[in-house]
Amino acid sequence: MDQKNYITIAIVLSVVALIVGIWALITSPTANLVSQDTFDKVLKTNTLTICYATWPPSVIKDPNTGELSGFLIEAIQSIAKDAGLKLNYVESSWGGFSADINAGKCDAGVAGFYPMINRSTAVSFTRPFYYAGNNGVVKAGDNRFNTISDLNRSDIKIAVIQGEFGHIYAQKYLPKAKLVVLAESSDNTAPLLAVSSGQADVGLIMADTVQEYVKKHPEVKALFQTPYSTTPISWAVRKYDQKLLNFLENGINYLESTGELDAMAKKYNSTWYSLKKDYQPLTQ
Amino acid sequence: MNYTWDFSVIFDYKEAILNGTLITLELTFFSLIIGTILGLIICLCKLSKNHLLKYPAIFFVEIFTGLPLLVLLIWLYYALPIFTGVNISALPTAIIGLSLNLAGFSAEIFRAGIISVPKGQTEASLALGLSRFQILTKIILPQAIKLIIPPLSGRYIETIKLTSLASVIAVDELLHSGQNLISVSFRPLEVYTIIALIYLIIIIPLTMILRKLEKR
Repeated sequence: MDQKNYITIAIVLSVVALIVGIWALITSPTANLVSQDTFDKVLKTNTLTICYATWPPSVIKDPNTGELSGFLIEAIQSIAKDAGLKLNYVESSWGGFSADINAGKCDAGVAGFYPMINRSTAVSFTRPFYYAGNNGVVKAGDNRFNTISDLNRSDIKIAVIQGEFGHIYAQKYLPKAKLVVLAESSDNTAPLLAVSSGQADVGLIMADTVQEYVKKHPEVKALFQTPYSTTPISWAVRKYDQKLLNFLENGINYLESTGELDAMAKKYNSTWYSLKKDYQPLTQ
Repeated sequence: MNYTWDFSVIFDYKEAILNGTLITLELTFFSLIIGTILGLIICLCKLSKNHLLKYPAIFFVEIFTGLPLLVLLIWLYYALPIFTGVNISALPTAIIGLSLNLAGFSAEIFRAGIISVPKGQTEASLALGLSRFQILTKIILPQAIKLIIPPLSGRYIETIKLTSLASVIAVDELLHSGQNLISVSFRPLEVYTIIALIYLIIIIPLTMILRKLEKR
């Protein structure tokens, strides 16, 4: 067979693939998801499927048993119990949660999601109901940094996880510093490990993670005594699932009004999660 | 470097490490079996004179050897449900992705082995009245296998290592179990060291077995 025939076959296959692709997009079940209300389905099946991403102490997965705990898990369990719903759990990741929700892997994302504006174009977020402190680590003997703006120097290497608050903050407010951007699939200690191993001067991450890490790693210390900023925390649903969003919001409001939400965070010894905004502006 | 090692966490969570290892072995086992059988079928289709078999097989090999496995896994896990409505959970998705990837490469390895057997042998066998199936199983494959085993062994070892990519779609294999363990133990270096050792414990004996097989 000559080259001309190969080209013809390749073109025919490409056209067929394109037609199948377009047809699949038009008739895809995702298009139907818009009209099929998720909350009606949840009530009909008595089952709410949630995607979670682990980040102690808000979402903890027991490494041995796989059992879930953490104050955000307790919160959704409490809401589901009162509504008579069974919970199904699907493990997700920080980078993949909106894809998981939109691909129908779950009905809602329950973890400490940061409701950024660009993320809001892909999923709908509940109102923020926790505020997580952000901090970092430096080498134990490093006393160069008194304020966050001291990090904004060209000779400073800052390790962050791609898409995590520390990354977003550093890109915007620490433009002179060199960023060591670690993959979003990295574990939550990766920026701190970069400091322990001498790959970076500073590692930025949530304050609770810093607090636990420095307890076990004498070679590093917390960057500051108190968080340099706070991140609002929300849950997420598919863009058009307003009924489910209302349901989750009502659940959150109820748990907050009874004091349970606060008690749940305290039960897990969370120091830097707060129900109060206590907001420190991002600008320096 | 001033770092205090503490491996006690591994003993506290040995069950998690063991479970992760078992899932890695499960992923490996099914991917190798399915990938090899599928690869052989694709290879035979590619060698066929029937265009309906040959060109889809060429297309298959080009797609699955060309696509990075990480991209394939993410596509199968996130995009496929949107296109088809078929929602496959993470572990079967990883097995499918790894198998398709291995099938693409092993098809080419099988093909290279088979075409290296001189055509005259096929013609002579046909003249002796052997069927196509008999020629393949009794004449060609026994000779081709000597050429197939070394590159296929390398591909098998590579597939074991590639199972770690399943962690991106939250399959609880060894790496993902380790990352989960890190999130509660805050001892990343110790956990990654043990994970590396376990991969070596799996891979080195297998490499030795495959080397012995090559020599035979």
